[in-house]
Amino acid sequence: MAHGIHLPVAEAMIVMLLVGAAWLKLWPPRIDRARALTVGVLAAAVGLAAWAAYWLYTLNDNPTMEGLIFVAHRGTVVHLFGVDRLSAWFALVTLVVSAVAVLGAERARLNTAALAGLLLATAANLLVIFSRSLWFMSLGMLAVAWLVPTLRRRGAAAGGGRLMARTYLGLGALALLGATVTLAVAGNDVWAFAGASALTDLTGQARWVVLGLGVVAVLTREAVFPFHGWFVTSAAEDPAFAPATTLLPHIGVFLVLRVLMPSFPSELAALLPLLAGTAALSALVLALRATVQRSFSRAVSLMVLSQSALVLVGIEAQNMEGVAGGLIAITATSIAGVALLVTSGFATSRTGDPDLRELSGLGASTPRLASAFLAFGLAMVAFPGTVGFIGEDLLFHGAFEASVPAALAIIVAAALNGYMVLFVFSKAFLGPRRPSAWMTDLMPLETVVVLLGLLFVVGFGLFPQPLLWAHEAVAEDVSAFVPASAGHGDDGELPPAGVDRGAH
Amino acid sequence: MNVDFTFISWPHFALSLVVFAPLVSFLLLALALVLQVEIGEARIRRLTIATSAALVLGMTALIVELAMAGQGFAVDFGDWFHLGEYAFELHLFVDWPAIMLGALAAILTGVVGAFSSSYLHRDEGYARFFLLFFLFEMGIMAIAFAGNIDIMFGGWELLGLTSALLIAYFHRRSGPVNNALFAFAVYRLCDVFLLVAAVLFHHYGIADAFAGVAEHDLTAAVSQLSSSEVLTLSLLIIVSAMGKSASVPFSGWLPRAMEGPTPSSAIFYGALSIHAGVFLLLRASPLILASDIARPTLIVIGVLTAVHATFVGRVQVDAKNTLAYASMAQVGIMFVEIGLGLEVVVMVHMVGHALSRSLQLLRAPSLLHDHHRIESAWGELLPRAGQHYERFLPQALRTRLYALALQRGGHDELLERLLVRPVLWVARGLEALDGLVEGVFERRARAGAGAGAAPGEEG
Repeated sequence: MAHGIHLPVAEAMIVMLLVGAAWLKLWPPRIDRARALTVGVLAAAVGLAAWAAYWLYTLNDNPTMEGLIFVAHRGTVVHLFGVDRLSAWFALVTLVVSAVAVLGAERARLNTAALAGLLLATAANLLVIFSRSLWFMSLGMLAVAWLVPTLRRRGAAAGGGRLMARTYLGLGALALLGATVTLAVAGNDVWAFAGASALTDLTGQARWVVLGLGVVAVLTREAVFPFHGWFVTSAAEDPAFAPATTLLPHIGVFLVLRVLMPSFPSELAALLPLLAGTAALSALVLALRATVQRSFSRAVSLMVLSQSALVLVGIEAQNMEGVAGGLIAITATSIAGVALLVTSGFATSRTGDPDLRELSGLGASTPRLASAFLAFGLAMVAFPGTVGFIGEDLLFHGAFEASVPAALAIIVAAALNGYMVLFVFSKAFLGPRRPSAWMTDLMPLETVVVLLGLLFVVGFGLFPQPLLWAHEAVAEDVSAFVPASAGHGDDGELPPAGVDRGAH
Repeated sequence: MNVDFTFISWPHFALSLVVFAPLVSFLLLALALVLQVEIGEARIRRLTIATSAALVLGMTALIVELAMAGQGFAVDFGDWFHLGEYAFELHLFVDWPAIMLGALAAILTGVVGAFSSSYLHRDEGYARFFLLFFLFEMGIMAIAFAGNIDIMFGGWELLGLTSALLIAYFHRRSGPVNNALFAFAVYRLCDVFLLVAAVLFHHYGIADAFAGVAEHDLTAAVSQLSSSEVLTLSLLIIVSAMGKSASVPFSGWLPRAMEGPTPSSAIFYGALSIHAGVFLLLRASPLILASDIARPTLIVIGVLTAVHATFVGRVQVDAKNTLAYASMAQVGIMFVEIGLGLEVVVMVHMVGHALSRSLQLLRAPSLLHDHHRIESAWGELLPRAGQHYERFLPQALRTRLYALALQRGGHDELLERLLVRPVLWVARGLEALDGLVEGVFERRARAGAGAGAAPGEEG
């Protein structure tokens, strides 16, 4: 049994965000102070998550930080919240992505309601991540589904995107709730849910029903084809806050790792190839759709969504390389993806998201924005020297071992997305400058945020090992539920060369 | 990066200069541009000179090392990253083919760098040119000294991106931008094949045999593979090389690439980038020569490319395009030479072609001036180029061939019809399907908005 300590780290993070949201709602300050407050709260939560992660990663035996809130259940004390390496890492990604979205959001489009909604949605995501109870996980998913339409930036037209997001995300949340109810009715422990050991009373068809509902929850939350439409439309209405609290934390992947894999290892072993194929198909379909987009924001959101689908393919490859590659790809696509969406948000908010054919030569007035867009775009499509390359290298190898068709599909998707990054960049920022296409370049704060993001994607792209150490620990925890790596028939040493100069 | 510095040898030092000096220059220049530090042409020129000096010094040291060693040797920089049993190893390899390409790159980038310093004087994209130039240098060196296919792929990607961005150098016009996208699309299409090949190399356990000592290791590795595996790998690599080297039917991007500035045309399409495919084939030649299908396929592709380029080149009306097709023809011949197993001939051919073509491309802007100078020295008009085989062809056939050559063999239309249109048709179909679903929600949202304010409205 893993050892642990009792510290209300999880509760503290969630409460911090809730208090911040309440403050924004009840005593809304001026927008600058509202943003500063939001960033401050998120930064504090990031600091707490980072400290927890550091403590957990420096110990062996998969330690945990148990929370203080508990209930008496079935004669035992059940701590409702806890932090382990997996949840600490997902929490970090969730919080950082939200922080980047807030820092990068254009001031003129901010409003306190959206900032409060972001904090609430982030708290809801943390509720899913840290909770031991399936009830709270379901509650967190429902809360995000309800909140995401409120994340609309000021001035954005209310369209079908909000309704679509609420419908699909609500469907996923209800699926998880349905699974929870089914488990509870069958007499299983859903308060201290601990994977397979909690499913002692679930047999036969009921297992497949619960698994199926769980898969629906995952696919809707990860916006995998055919449950993908909500992301494109909601990202068009808000390119930063909505993606940062729905897709980019990859809560769906978390559910796979935390709930589905430990609980249904044999069923998933049979089902995962199908799921991997679905995710690979999703990546390819979305990349294809991006090629015929006329809208700047829709093209970018489809690219981000397509690259995000690769994560599931890696996780579902059921080998160490695929899982680790998927985890690293989460970090890469989340950070680079939110940065790319934020930069595209700058462009579309200032030009009104016209047809790509009407955009041209924006780079003449916005060289910093253009450079940022290209850099983050290349990072997202795994260009060598960026953090995305590390994850995708592992992911491709892992996926190939699991399923050749899926691997080929994601390779083609990645190639298409790489072309589309340059296509959108060229159409929007290069070419003859049109009189109507004028906008201001990045402001100082926006430039600082961009520089920090570039430091991350290029720094870890060139020196990835620290990031890999962190992911290795998580991958080891997860690997308890995956078969041993099939591995390649691999090359451990250099081939016998004539004179091996410089080897050691 | 788990790079091992415990044992710094001359090969380590020399290869670090050769491969990483351009990266350092790129990062320095990139940092200056991002921070908007005023960096004038003089400083960039000094940085270029320093980089070239590092390349020359490194190459000299490597040549001496190789001569003393007598045969190729591997240099291990440890793992770039590792996780569990998997590691991306920084294995570089030094042998005569690598030295040949590396030396060529060092010399030509130095010459072109010096040329560009004055050619692009006071051009607004001066810094941007050299930023991409340094990245290109690193890419070509990574390809030259790649000890495994992963590093080769990394350099390959760098080459593709820098090539596309330099074609779009004169980005205020839509022509160069569209041509850059065309070239990049062809690169990405063919890069898929190289990536699949890289994954397969690992899958078959021969990733590090990619650059063996002479042909020992890859030849030994090939003997462990089945004929279908050899064929698959060979064909994947051939298609990858076809894209970068502008072989039929992926040749349409090359004349479009002439939109870029003359220095980049010289170094990319006369000297180095266009020969990257040839070098890849050279490295993989034990695979190709072991396959009874891949080998004649490569020869046929080479012949078709050479014939196509010869015909089309003869109807070009500007110097750079003529030279581009001339390069294409020579690369086609090199493909044939590789298919015939004439590796030494290929290397000599490549070096000679790269040097002479670079000179021609660099002199292209001065072509008319040179022509008039020669005529002045000659004292009379120079005789026009005579007819050759055209004399033996009937007029009707000549006209048809002329029209076909003007259309560049119709390859672009063929690719568009067979590849682009079906893909776009599928994509539009998918978009229409999703549009139906989105339309339903849009109508319901409007109906709800008509009934009252939607929740979450913000003032």
